[in-house]
Amino acid sequence: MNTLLTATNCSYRFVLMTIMTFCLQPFQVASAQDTNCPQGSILQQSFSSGASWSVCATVSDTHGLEVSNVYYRAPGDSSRSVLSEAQVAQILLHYHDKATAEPQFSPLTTLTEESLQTTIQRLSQATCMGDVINVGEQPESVCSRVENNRTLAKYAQRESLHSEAWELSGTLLRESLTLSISWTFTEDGQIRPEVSVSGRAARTQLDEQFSQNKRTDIPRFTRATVLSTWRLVPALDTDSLDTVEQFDFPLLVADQNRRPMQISAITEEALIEVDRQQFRGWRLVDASGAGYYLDPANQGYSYSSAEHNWANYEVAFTRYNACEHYALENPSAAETCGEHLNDFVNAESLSEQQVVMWYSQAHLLNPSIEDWPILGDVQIGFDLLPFDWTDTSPFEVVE
Amino acid sequence: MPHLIARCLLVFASLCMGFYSTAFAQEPSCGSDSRITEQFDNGAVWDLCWESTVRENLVLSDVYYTPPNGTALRVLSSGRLSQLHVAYDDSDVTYNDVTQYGLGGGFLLTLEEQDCPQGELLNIQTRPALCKWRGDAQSGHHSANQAAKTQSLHLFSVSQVGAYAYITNWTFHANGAIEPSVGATGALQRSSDDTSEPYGRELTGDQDTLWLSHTHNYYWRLDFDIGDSATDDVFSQTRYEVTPAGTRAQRVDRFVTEQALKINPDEQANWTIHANARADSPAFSIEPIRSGHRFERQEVEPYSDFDFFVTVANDCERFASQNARFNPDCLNDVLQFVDGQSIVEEDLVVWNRVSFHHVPRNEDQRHMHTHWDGFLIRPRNVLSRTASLNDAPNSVPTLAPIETRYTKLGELIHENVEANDADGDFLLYTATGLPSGVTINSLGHLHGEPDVEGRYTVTITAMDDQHEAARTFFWTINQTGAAERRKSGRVDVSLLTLLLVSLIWTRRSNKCPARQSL
Repeated sequence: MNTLLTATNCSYRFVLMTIMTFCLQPFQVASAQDTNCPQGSILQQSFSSGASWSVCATVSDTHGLEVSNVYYRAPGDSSRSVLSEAQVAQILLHYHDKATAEPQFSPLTTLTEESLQTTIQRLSQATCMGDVINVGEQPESVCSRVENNRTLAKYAQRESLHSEAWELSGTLLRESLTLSISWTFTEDGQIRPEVSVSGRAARTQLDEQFSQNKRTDIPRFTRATVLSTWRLVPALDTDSLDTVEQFDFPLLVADQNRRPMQISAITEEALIEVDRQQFRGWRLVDASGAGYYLDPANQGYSYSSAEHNWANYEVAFTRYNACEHYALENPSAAETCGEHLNDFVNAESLSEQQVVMWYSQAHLLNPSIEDWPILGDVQIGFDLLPFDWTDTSPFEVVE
Repeated sequence: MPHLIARCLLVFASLCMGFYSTAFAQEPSCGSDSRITEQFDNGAVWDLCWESTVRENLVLSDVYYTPPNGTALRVLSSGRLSQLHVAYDDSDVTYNDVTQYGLGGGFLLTLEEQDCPQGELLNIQTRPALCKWRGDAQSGHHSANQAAKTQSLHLFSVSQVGAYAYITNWTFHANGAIEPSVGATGALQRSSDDTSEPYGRELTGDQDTLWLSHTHNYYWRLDFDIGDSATDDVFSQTRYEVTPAGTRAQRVDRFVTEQALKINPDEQANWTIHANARADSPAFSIEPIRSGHRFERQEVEPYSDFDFFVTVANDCERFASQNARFNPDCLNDVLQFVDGQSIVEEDLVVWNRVSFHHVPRNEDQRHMHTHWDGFLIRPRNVLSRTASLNDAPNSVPTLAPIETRYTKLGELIHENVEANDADGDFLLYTATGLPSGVTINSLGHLHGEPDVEGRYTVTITAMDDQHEAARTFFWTINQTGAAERRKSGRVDVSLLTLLLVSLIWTRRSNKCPARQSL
């Protein structure tokens, strides 16, 4: 394990805090072990700073790699719950020459394991640039990797702080494409979910409206929009139910171009659009005040759909319902469940309820010569940022 | 040896197609102390000159990229951060850090080895201030048989401007992409004693102080000189319009005059600079992915209403704002630079803006963790294939012929298609034209119950990472699951063959018992 802090300067308080943490509370780490996680599914990573993550991981044909019971321990802090459940709730692949999008997860059509159109890739050293691990009953299904997370902080002539990040990924095969779903947990508490599309493009189209490549010796692959939708169930810090705050910063031209911060509670199920001009974002917050912030900074493109209204919105909040798992093609055997996210948003109150956040991102899959024969990763991800999770930076520097 | 011949042919073909530069010198024109040349495992090379100026700090020039198995291609004449505009939400103060203070000179921090733990420190004038290091990018490719992260060269230095420490970073990827970025760290700059104001947040342990929210607007100035001439680059915007039919049709707007443009998320607009007017010429494109925040304050800073600009290169048009402060004979901001000049056969400069709105949180005190903002400049028509592909020889998979088949309507299909690969590669399967109700998964498993009668022309393809084998056959779905006479009266050839074989077999079968009976 690389050292988080390369400094030897004794003035760094966190070194002392880390030592104290190890000495005083070595076994106080609440983790996925405390819960109903299946045997062999608990994954943990500790960093030399004292920071650690613990997750319960599962891999399925219809969600890819999902995590639950996610706990983060900041240096000098105790291990605290962040997420109860989190997974990709659907990936739509909308080829530009088609009128309709193709859901990549098809739980509705599941008849037998072999009939699934999406299958789990068994990983090897050739396909995982880290450690291949078994999760639950799925052998060699998760790749675990610790990577450099660049400069964590730098101030004046003080030495830089460096940090690492822990990435877990699992890959699904769908037609000739690979859909890699990864969860990156940084040493300073950030969570970065990401869908990465690669593999081999197979759909071709000669019409230049829908394809790009000009070279005649390789196929003209069809362009597509990828829409990934995530389902996040917070379980922040204490046992109290979490709430949602929406942050907006509207420009008031008549008031000297000021931008007052407007925080509104989301109290009812809703479909919501990003507002780039107002820097809109959302904070999931515990009664203790500890929270995580979803900042849609990577929302460069939008998706529009005539057939799926929910897909025209980037964000949705719903009341927790265990059978509402997929943004589209949700198995609706139980009467209380709908078939898609639009059905889930039906004006129910979120007050004193477990809330679920749904977040969608669109990206362009536009193959060029550089994507032949294998597509370069098309990455679609975002950050969940600790927001008042600790009173100060847990890597604080003493003057 | 065959591999070597293939490489030579590839290079020759590339040269014939005019992909690569010939007129420019094939390398940067600077001394060894200001030149960086980095070769990657896939054979790609980045070669460039650098300097640090008092205002912008890092200015890169004569930037060349050599793709794997290719020849050097000039990409940029110069690249720099041309403004770092910070606007506070209370609107009381706006900083233009590059022109008001500067990121170089005395604002540049001396770096220690601990600041550059995986790399090499280079001197700026007399002190170490530039870190050069090699690492893996976040991206690469992954297939059923292999995965690779793109190797990258990172160059960064740190400037302390007020309480902020800005990490000016340039990353050059082995796959030909360039990724300029800025990391903002240090400490929060401005606060107010009036905690009742709605322009910031009180942080734990500092109850009488309101730390103010603010927006960082980063402007990069990129002088593209792609290929063999500085004056034949072509700029276009590509949009994908949703049609009434629900498809997305590509629309390419090739501009002939200077432009100020806004992001267009609904039409997924992106921008491309081609080496010349040929659509297949080498190009670099910019997708405005990091556009979830977009700063506008048109009334006082009209240029803030736009995200992307294209202008004709002019040495005195150096800063995106407050330009006249150092260039009094020139216009003041990037929107003013866009004044209708023709960009045909001119040297083009593009200016890209990325915004980030920062809401203070407890974790920002006392020293902030770095928040990174930047963008990716992706090559198109520059490489001949996937950048980091395994170079090992690869055999083509084999797929046995598939005979014409007949299946009864509603009958369960539950079988595997099998192909072989001499290298033992994992094969993926796709199909086109399958009967309605039948699907194939990546592993070659056919499944379903055909639900519509008809005669289908089916093509099944098995592919490894580089090659594929395909077989086409006819698949008839009908009420009986057997071949039947066509309405036209003509008999299916395969059916006829089947009948003929059956007839011969029957005759032979009939003869044998007779002989036995004898």
